Amino acid sequence: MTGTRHSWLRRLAQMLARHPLPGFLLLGGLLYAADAQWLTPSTPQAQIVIEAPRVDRLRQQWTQKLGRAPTDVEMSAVLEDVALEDMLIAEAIARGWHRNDQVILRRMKQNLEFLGMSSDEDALETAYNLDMHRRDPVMRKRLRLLMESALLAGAPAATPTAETTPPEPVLKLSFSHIFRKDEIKPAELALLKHASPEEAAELSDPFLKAHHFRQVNQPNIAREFGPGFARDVNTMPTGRWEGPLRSAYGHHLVRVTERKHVVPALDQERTRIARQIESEEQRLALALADLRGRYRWGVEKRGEEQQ
Amino acid sequence: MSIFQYRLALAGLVITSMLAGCGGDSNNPPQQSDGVVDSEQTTDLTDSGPGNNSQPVACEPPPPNSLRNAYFGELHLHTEYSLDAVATRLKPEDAYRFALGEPVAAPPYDEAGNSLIPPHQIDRPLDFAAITDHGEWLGEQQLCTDPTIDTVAYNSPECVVYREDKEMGFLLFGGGWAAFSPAIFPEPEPGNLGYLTEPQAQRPLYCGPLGEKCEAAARSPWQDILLQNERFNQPGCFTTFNAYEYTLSPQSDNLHRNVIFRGNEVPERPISVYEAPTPPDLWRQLDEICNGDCEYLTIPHNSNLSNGRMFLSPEEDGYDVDERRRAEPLIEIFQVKGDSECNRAPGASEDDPLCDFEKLPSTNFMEFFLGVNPLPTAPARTNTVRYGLKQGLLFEQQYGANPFQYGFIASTDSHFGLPGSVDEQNFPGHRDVPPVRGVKDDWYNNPGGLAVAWAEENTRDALFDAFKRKETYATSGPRMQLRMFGGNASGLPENMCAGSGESFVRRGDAGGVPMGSELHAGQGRPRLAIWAAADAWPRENDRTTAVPLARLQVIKGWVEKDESGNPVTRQQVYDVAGAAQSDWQVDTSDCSVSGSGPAQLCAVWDDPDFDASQNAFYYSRVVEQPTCRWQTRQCLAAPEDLDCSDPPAEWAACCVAEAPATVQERAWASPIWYKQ
Repeated sequence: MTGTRHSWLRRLAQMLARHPLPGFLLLGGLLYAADAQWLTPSTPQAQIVIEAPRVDRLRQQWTQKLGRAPTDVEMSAVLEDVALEDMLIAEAIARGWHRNDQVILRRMKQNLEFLGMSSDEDALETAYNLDMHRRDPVMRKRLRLLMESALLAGAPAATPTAETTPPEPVLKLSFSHIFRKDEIKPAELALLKHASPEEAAELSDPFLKAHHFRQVNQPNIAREFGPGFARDVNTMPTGRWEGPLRSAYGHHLVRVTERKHVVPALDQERTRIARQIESEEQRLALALADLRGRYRWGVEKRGEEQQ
Repeated sequence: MSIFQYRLALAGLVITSMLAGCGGDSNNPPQQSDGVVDSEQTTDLTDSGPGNNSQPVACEPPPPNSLRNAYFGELHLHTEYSLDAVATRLKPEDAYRFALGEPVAAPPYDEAGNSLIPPHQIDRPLDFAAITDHGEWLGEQQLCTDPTIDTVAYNSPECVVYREDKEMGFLLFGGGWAAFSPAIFPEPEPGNLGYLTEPQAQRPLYCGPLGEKCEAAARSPWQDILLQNERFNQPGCFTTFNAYEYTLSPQSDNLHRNVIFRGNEVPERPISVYEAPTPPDLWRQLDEICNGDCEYLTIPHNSNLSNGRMFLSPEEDGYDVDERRRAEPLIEIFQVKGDSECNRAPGASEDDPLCDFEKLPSTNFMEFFLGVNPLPTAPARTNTVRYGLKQGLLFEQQYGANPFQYGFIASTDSHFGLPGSVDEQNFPGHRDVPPVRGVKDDWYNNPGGLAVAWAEENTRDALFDAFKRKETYATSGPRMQLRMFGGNASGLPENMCAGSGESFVRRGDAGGVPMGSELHAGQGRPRLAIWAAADAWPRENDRTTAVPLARLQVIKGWVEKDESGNPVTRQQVYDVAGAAQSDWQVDTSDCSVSGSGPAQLCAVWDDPDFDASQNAFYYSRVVEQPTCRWQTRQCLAAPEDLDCSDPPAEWAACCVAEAPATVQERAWASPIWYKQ
């Protein structure tokens, strides 16, 4: 028998060496099978049923904490979260982690000892049969975390984004303004429009804030003069006095001296890390969505299922 | 404790983020639930566009300004990591996103973590922020909420209670246990430190015999706070500070301090009351570990809840004057739990009607939480910052230096993880679980204020330098600008208000000193040059109307001899610009406003009562015209048939007769001290 097996393997190796494509497909098939075995539920469209007493308990907890009963939408959100947790735990159990994870085994034994029971194999088996691993909050959390870790590890790698992609350019303005507390009369307005930007302060009424602003963006301007003023300045042409514009302080003649789109400087390392974090969050979300798609869940109600 | 040179290790961040990603739903920020939004509370921010300004890694700062800009920020904020943040699910990352203008999911939440109110968004981004979760109980909170760290601790009776009722848990083994049990933290007695021998034994039993489990568990949230601080710090655009709150409450009297670090070199875990049972212990331990790049300052707050204990003498409180002066340049004068500037209690500021502002009806935490205070009560006048400033003058005569030479800041102390959420029109509450519809907080709380620093640029160093030199001011929320210089008639010309702001500052810098500084004998009669500009942001009448100013004042305190030759302190409030009366009106039936008022107030003021032999301080206060208080706004949505003889709990605050209907927002400039 040994010689036969070696012979078969040798022939397979020779075939793969001669024909790489079938070899690649075979290897892919094997990986797919392994993936199906370890990273997909054993039964497609498995079912999660949330028992009616549990639903009642969740509803009671809500009411206790918030002082009112949940609406249908709110209750549905609660149940969705519970169902997702049950899916993750079911997946973890399908992989046997409730029996071979050391944290869970230790917790099992602690529970048994707390109950005054021995923690030998028979007692453990009894505990498993009584679904202790599904009921204990610590074990549930552990199983859920393990499964989420596995999903994240098994999720397809995110498409690498160009790390040097620059952020959106920001419009930066430089401007001067002549401030008048009261309305500027037409005759004076005509004169002021011939002033140079450097004369802004001396031609103004007393004003605490600056008369010249360099390379500021619309939010910067809004904080000083209000959002409406900032919006108007943001669309002004350059090189001539415009206005007067109103602000909370009074009237302003504004002369934009420079409009420049500036690409904010990026810290490349921080950008890379931020994108990595986002990518992991997205991968986990996708994996969870995929998991949800492989389950049906519903609420038990007098022996029949809803949803 | 050894120095932990915290540098952002890229690999560490990646690992941490991966662990966070594996942490299950309890680690994910809550998502907004569809279908339960309340459109009345949404805020249209299309004008300002702060939501587009939240990219944490892109920054193109404006050039530095040698005349210094006003930067508005938050130096007192709690997230989910604080044991007493019983309602929020927001973590440091969420808090910073909020500060930068992004909407976040604020309390209350449903069981699945969906916010039950519309996305909450600041009206305009902050310039800087520090997250100051309680240094105490970081580990306690983690052990009670994460079953995978330590199963015995997770299932301890304390943690079971905490998970069922967080407020009860906090009172049993957190702040309540620490504050309400005199045996735990007796009044500090200098020279008698016997009770401090086993401070870790004061922790809950589940922390382990030496508190080691809680100490270890505290590292994870502390590391996350530090990592997020580094992640969101954008020199020139947005500044974060490494920080925490030191939570000392002997016999429930508030002696809390926020510890703010200049840079990245910080202790490996916060030095809490368990390691440092008195403020001098805190400073000494911080001094031991903080050298080189590690620089810190501590900011006390809520003297209004200190039951007279905040401003005790060096003998009574066991501190060294020089040490306190060095470690503690600033004080938080205003926050959600009220105003600490002054009050009108007997012997306090009875002739200053503007002291009737956001007063908390409690003298310590016992009274704040339980409504009763069986402990001995100190005179209410001793709970104010103004009293502390005056006491500082007295102690200066006795000890040669003033221990309470404080500059001012304000902040929120929000326990919702919402830095700078100070809008009276959009107050979501601050700590307890708020109702979905109803009044969001106890009537005596308020949205809190902001810290403002005059600095050349928006960086840690520039802002921290401003804190140290006290060129700071506090606002009760609005972003008015307030500038003050002190000097004399030759240095500060009488016509300083007649020119531009730039010339005002140049003259002030050249011939005087800015707020937070000292004037000295020989310079003659003090002259103050003060200029205030209103907040230009439209906040009223459906956010179309900015609120003008009303009055600009100088508050002077000084020390003189009484008839027996004993030193006594006095105070005087001077109106220096504006007027008490105007045509401005508030209609509290719909909170609309009408009328007018000055958008700027400026004064050059000489002290008419100057006596060169009397040490004194001068600070300025600018107040806005009245507007509706947050509670009045929320009560507009109360049922029309609200029965105040038996109101539902969520609307009961609308039936409190003593709750003020309007508020006069304000700013307080750090004092300038005259010294002989």
